[in-house]
Amino acid sequence: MASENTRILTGWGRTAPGMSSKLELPINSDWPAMLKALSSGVVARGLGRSYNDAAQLSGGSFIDTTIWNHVLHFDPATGILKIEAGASLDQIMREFSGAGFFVPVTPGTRQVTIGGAIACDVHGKNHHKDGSFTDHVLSIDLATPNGVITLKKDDSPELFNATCGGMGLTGVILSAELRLLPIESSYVKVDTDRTNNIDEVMSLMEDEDHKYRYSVAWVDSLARGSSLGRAVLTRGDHASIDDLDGQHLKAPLEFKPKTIISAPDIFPSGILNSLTIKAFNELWYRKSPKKEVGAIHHAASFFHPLDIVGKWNRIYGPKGFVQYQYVVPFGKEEVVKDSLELLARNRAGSFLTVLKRFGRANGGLMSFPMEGWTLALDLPVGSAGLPALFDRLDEMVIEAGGRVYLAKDARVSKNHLRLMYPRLDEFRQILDSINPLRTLQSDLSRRLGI
Amino acid sequence: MNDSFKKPQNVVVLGGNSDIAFAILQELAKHRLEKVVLAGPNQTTLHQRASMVSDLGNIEVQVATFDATDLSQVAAQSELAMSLVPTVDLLIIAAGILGDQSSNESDPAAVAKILTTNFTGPAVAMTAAVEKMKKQGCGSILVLSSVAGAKVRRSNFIYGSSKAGLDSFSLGFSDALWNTPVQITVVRPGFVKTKMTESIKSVPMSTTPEKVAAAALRGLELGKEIVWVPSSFRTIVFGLRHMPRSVNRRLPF
Ligand SMILES: Cc1cc2nc3c(=O)[nH]c(=O)nc-3n(C[C@H](O)[C@H](O)[C@H](O)COP(=O)(O)OP(=O)(O)OC[C@H]3O[C@@H](n4cnc5c(N)ncnc54)[C@H](O)[C@@H]3O)c2cc1C
Repeated sequence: MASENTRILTGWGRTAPGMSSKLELPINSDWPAMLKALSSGVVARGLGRSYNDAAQLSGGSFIDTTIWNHVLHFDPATGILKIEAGASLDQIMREFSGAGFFVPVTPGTRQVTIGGAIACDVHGKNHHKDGSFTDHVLSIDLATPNGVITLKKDDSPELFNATCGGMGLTGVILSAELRLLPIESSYVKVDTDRTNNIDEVMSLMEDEDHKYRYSVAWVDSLARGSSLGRAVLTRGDHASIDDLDGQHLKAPLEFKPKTIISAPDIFPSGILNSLTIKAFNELWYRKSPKKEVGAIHHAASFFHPLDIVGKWNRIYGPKGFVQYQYVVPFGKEEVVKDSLELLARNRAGSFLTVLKRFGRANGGLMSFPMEGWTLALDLPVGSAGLPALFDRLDEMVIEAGGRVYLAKDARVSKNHLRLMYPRLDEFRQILDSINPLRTLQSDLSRRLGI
Repeated sequence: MNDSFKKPQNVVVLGGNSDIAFAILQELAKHRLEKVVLAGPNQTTLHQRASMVSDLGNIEVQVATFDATDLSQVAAQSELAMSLVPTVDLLIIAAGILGDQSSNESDPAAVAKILTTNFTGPAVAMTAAVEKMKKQGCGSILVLSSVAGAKVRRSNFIYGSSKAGLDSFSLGFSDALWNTPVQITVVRPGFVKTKMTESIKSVPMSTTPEKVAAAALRGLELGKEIVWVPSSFRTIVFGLRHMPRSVNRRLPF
């Protein structure tokens, strides 16, 4: 167990640890030979920001992709960037904002790799406008047991669509070509609305989200009764030079955010309980303006407020926490309400509860986003009855025709997975041809029988 | 695999005919349980148990031989039982016999049998299981110990000392595995109403297999090393341990 390459891995939620051996392989390895030699299985691991067991393989090996982080090509005329898969979005923002480019889609943290962003087909606050990450990916270089293949959306749609959102199971992503977004500044012009309850925030989003590139609502998960689902809605777009003045004009494209502190590993589990979460939610809600228009925020604080504190997942204590994110189609608003109701009734306080609207789905067989409402929760492990509560939520989501997000999943059942992802069999068939021995596998794929 | 709440898909039970182990499987069947191996000495009773377990839901049950008294075979038998599932997410060590204190006190063979069944055999099996789990990179072990082993008393010292041995061995192993993904949880129930104890008059604070199962699984989820059932035994045993030996010797229970 204690071989020097062995690592104890978990996802960001710090549950379900497993030991795997770390491999640092040259990006130009003889991949078919290499992968075939790894008979106990292998998984690619980027920055480990998926929440649970997607980027680990207990008893097997993991490939640390973060050593592959070189820019291969950039064309400022088109914004098309070819980059190695272990590069992070953080790195891209730092290197390319000066030239006037931003990533087309960013999740709530920029500490994710290109490989992870493709494998989970991540989404940001702009899904209703711009789709998810792989909608902006033009090609992918993929190492498989059969050789290295370049996938293009039009030339090899099957494997491309299986790889986008495919949780790393079709092969190891070596590099990708993506189209960056031109920006005039690293600032975002933001409108904020504090709403009294869930109906209010949902109707505001329905009516006005189309006017904004970015939109997200932070929801107070413990408010009940007539305040159920009260929220702070922030929406905006990249600020143009004309939107800026004074201070902001000095270095409009600067992107050099700092991590101010790292949370120490001293928090016992249970500090975040329904009382402290309630207090935090109350504070957050109160400190937000009732209504504010056109405020200028730096992109780093607008998109990634949590990145200011390194390793903030430690505040949940050693038992860790579980994220749960679902999407249900438009027209099923009652599921959003019912699920908030269910949480509030069970005093299951979610520290960060986020509501967004998704636009059209793309072709990814296992991609999470589909048109509708998406709600993300995080709950500390420990309160009794949580497993059953999540099972109940799954049932509500399935009945509405929705699904949960595998990048965050920690516990969904195989039966439920099948109902949530109708193209699962198609995906498995592709794996049967490209990865027949399941050389590429993860604790998640074993747990879910993919 | 285990999920984030330590709900296993594949479980191996050594001492597969145990009522407490069955209650644990009953509870796990409500979650992610898929495959179970019941291992024990008596294949006939195991097969009966196996059909009870598969009736709990869509669960695939296999039986295997495990005779804790056969020390030359225990390791190999446990390895074989564990090889019947893709990963051993949870191993339940439930093998044990109660014996009859008053007649066994003067019977060396009976003492050997109780100690081997309850301590030596399970300790050997646990060693094999830990090796397996280190290789697979994760796994949990639930050890059914007893309050009787937490404080050994005059009235019950053969059984009690066998459980004391198993209990200490398990906690020592747990220390050795500290901060690794292999977890050991020791469960210390008081008097449990089961077939093992049906010949004995029920005592105060007795508990049921279902309650033991619920507490054990909760302990597992929370990563506890020791689980008392009922939890008040923790304080009671603390008191008993500080009692003078002269009083201890005369305890009526
Ligand atoms: C604070 C926080 C906020 C988040 N917000 C969002 C959000 O708003 N929207 C969203 O969609 N997600 C969000 N996430 C989830 C996160 O964006 C995804 O899990 C992302 O995949 C993490 O990237 P990573 O590099 O850390 O990947 P890892 O966690 O290392 O891996 C994730 C998966 O990708 C696979 N993978 C990684 N690299 C490769 C490769 N080179 N080749 C093949 N497969 C690979 C792994 O095998 C694994 O299956 C958030 C996570 C955190 C911690």
